[in-house]
Amino acid sequence: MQVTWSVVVLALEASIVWLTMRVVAASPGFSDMGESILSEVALLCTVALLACVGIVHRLARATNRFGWLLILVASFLLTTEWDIPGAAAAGAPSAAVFSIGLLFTIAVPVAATWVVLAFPSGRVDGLVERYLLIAGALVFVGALGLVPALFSDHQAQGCSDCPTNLLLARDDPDVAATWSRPAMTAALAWAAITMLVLLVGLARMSPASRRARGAVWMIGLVYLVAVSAQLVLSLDRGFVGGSMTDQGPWWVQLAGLAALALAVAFSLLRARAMRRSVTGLVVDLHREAAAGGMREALAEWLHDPSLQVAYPVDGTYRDVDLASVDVTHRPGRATSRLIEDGQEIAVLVHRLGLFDSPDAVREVVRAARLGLENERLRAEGLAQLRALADSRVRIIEAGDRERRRLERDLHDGAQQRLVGLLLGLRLLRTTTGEDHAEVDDAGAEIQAAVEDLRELANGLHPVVLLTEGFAGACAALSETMDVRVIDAPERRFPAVVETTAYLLVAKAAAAGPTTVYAVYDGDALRVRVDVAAAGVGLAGLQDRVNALGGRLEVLPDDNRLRIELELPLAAPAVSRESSPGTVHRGDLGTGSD
Amino acid sequence: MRAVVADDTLLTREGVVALLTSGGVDVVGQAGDATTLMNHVRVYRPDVCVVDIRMPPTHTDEGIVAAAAIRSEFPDIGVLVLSHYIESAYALRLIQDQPEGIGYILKERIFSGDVLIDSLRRVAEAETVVDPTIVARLLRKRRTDDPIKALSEREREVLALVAEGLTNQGISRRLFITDRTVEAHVRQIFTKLGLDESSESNRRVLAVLTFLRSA
Repeated sequence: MQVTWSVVVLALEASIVWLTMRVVAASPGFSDMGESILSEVALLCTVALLACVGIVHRLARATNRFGWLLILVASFLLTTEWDIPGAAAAGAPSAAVFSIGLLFTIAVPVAATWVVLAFPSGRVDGLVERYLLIAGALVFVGALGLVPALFSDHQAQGCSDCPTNLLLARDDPDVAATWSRPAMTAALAWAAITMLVLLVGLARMSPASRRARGAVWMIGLVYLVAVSAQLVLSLDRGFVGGSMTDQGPWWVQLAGLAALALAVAFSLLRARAMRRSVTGLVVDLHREAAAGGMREALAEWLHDPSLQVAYPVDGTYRDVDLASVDVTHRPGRATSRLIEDGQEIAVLVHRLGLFDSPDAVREVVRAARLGLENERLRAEGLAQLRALADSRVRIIEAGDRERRRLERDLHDGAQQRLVGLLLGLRLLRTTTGEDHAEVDDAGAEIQAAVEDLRELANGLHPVVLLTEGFAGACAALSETMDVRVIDAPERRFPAVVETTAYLLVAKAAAAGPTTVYAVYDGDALRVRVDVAAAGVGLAGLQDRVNALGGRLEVLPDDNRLRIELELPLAAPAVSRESSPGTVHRGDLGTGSD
Repeated sequence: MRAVVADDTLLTREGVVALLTSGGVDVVGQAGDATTLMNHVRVYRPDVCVVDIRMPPTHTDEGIVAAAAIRSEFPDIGVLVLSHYIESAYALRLIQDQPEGIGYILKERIFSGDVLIDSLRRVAEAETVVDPTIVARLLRKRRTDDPIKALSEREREVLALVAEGLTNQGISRRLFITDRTVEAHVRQIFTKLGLDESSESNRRVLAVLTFLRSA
């Protein structure tokens, strides 16, 4: 679709060129470029350059109208030539061609200014700039094109070869003559104001904007200087000259237009390079090392090493690794929201004055959208994973707490009552002063019940694990079961880690004679268990270990099993509580500043 | 003998108090938690304290912590901890700083004979008391190259009683043998286990318990 469209435009442009060539060939003496072969080639080359860059721009940025403006300038450069007697060579539509030529005889400056002001978005956002362009159109097309055409019957004034002027209202050479000078003065004033606007804009541009469109504005300024020079020279003469009369300004203008096309082409290439590096980042993103690559790329691209990229995750702002980012306004820092299709994809925290217009921010979005989206989704996925891991750990901890509560209830409830009962029996025996075999039997039964309850409570959650930790609990286990503890770190670990490691030892000890070797290496508790058994039921334990981000491996070895457990001490999940630096999305100031 | 009793369960506390009173012990104060216990100890200056191991707030080992606090402030006051757990770690923690006048027995033992009164009396006389269940468990513990196996049956009996904190005199009474025989047995045991036999009677509890736990 895009390609078909560009072929049509190219064909249209080519036919206009062909038409112009015929017009010029018919009356070379009247033409700007007919004078010399050199100026003819230069003009055609400039037209071709503008049209080509315009079409390429259209293809590269489908939603951007900027390409049209370049094609418009190229077309106006050609129609400038149509107000000469040679227009008759156009055949049947010669009158129309001639009239268009009269109307747009000097429309290029205002079109070129439009190009400069609309770069790179294709839109002119500033009110001043908009009025300037409207005024320019009134002066250059209205006052310098339409008004003379209305009152000049070229055929009546001796140009017998000229086609009919379709715009003619009343032949009055006096009106045309008296009108021309004030119109040119107005054009000159317009050019001066425009140059002033460009100069002020250049001076106040932020570094990022200057990099993006400074060159185009400078070229525009030079071009307008040349236009003004031509207008000044024309004031005495009474008509606006061309390449024959004002050679210097004409060439400078042409060079300016060519440079304009080249500058636009260059910006396209640069954005393409940025996008390519972003694409590379996206491709690399599955590799851990590439995470955060967007920050690096943007920091380099925008020349701001302090740049931070924050993504909206669950109502907070976090970087690609989920560290929270302060996006509040701080002295010396500014924030810009990158928005695409109404959705905020990222917030940049950068030095002041990096962006001075929504355009500059849009440029970043355009170039880096894919990479930013990718990193945002990565951060979101990471956040979900961590939330999930958090909830798994919480479930396990809740289970542990529940077992601990049951243990406590057994000790402080049933067991205390049994002990109370024992005391009662003991007192009964003391007060009666007699020995009753039945009382002693009942006492022995109750003692056995106390024993059973102790075993049950210990199996639920040994208190010694709570007070003495993993090493102490293993030592206690070794007093009743065939467990040999070769080494176990005495330091304390998070309760959920200690419980998990202890459960492994207890399960192994229940299966057969067990040897325990545990070390702590600064990041993780590593437990190796050698158990003389064919199998150990580890299904539940595996879930616990997974939830804690650990590793459990069973290596069968003849009739023995070697079980290796690794439990990282760093909590597997980030805290979900908002840190002081975290700002909720609603709190953020609007837009760039 | 003046005593303070600490237990957070009213029923058991009153039972213990009744038992002590019937045994001729003067219970001067009762406490339901460690803070009240400390206050009573400071005010009444008892000879001994009977402390439940589980008390608020965590219901784990508050009794041991309280015992250590009492001992550091009043080294002359004996403390007997009534425990729910057969854990040598707690017994050792209790006695390791100062074994004289401290004891650790299982709560249900108060039913049999005069264990409570006897233990309290021994603690008051600056002896050490370790529950026989804990010692028996330590002796049963499986070891590679078990040095306990090198002991005769009588020597093992003596070792158990040493670990329970009995003096030579106490052992001789319990086993119906002379003090001199007990001395000879102890010397023999310590040589066989490679322990320092010069340990005085209270310190040797520590040495034996530590040996049994770590071997």
